[in-house]
Amino acid sequence: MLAYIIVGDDTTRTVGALVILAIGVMAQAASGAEIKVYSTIGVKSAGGLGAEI
Amino acid sequence: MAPKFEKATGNKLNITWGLISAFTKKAQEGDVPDVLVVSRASIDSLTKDGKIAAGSDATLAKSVFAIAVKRGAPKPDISSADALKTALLAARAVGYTDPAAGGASGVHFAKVLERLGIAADIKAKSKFPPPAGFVGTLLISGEVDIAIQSKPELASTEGVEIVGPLPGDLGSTTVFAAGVGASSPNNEAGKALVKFLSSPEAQAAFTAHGFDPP
Repeated sequence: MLAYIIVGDDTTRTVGALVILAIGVMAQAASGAEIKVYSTIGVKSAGGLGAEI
Repeated sequence: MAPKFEKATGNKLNITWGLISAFTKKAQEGDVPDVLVVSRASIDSLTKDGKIAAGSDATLAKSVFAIAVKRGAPKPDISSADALKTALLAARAVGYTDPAAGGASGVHFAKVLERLGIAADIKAKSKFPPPAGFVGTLLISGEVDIAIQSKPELASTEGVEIVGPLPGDLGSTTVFAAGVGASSPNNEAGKALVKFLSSPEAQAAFTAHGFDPP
C-alpha cells in the first residue's frame, strides 16, 4: 500500500494519506486507552492471585 | 495476566483491588469503572440498575470458603458439621477475616460458628489478619493452626495446605463476573478486557490460583 502511494499520482497519494490517517485514528481508538478497573480478583501480594470478597 | 493484555492491545490497565461490597456500593453511587469484576449477583443487580452495560458481562470463575492448615500439619476431619465443630474446638487458635471489616468469608464464618453453637468458644481464640490480609500468613507464623478464607486467598500463601471446603450446607460458593460500565468512554477496550478474562488462558490462570471453573 505504501509503495503504491509513493509511486502513484497526486490523487492516489492524497487518498492513500487519508486511508493511513484513518487507520491511525482507529488504532488510537482501539489501543492506548487507560481502562479503569475495579476488581475483587487480583494480585494482592508478590505471589498470589487472590479474591478479596 | 494484566501485562499480557496490555502488550496485546496497547491499552493500559488502571486496577484498584477491593471488596465486592465496597465496589458495588461505589457503582450504585455512580462511581462505575470501565470494567468491574465482582460477584455475579452484584453484576446482575448493577446491570438491572443501568450501571453495567447489558450484554457486556461474563462469568469468570467460582470460589468456595475453605479450611487450611500449615503444610505438613495433621489435617483435621471436616467431613461433616459435627466433625468441623470438633476440629475447631480442638484447635489452639483459629484464623479468619474480621467479620466487622466486611469481608465475605469472615461474615459467613461467623454465621457458621453461630449455627454450630460455638461462637463464644471460637471467638475467645480467634485471630484476624490485617485488613485485606491473608489468613494463611497466620498459619505460617504459627499464630493459628486452622484458617478459614476463600480458597484462592488461602492458596496464595506459600506453605499453606487446603484441607477442603466447609462441609455440606455450611459451605458457600461465590461466582465472579465482569461487566463494562454502561457509560464507559472505553467501551470497546472494556469489552476486549472482559473477553480476555474469559479466555482459556485466563481461565487456566484462575484455576492455577485456587479458583474453580465457572
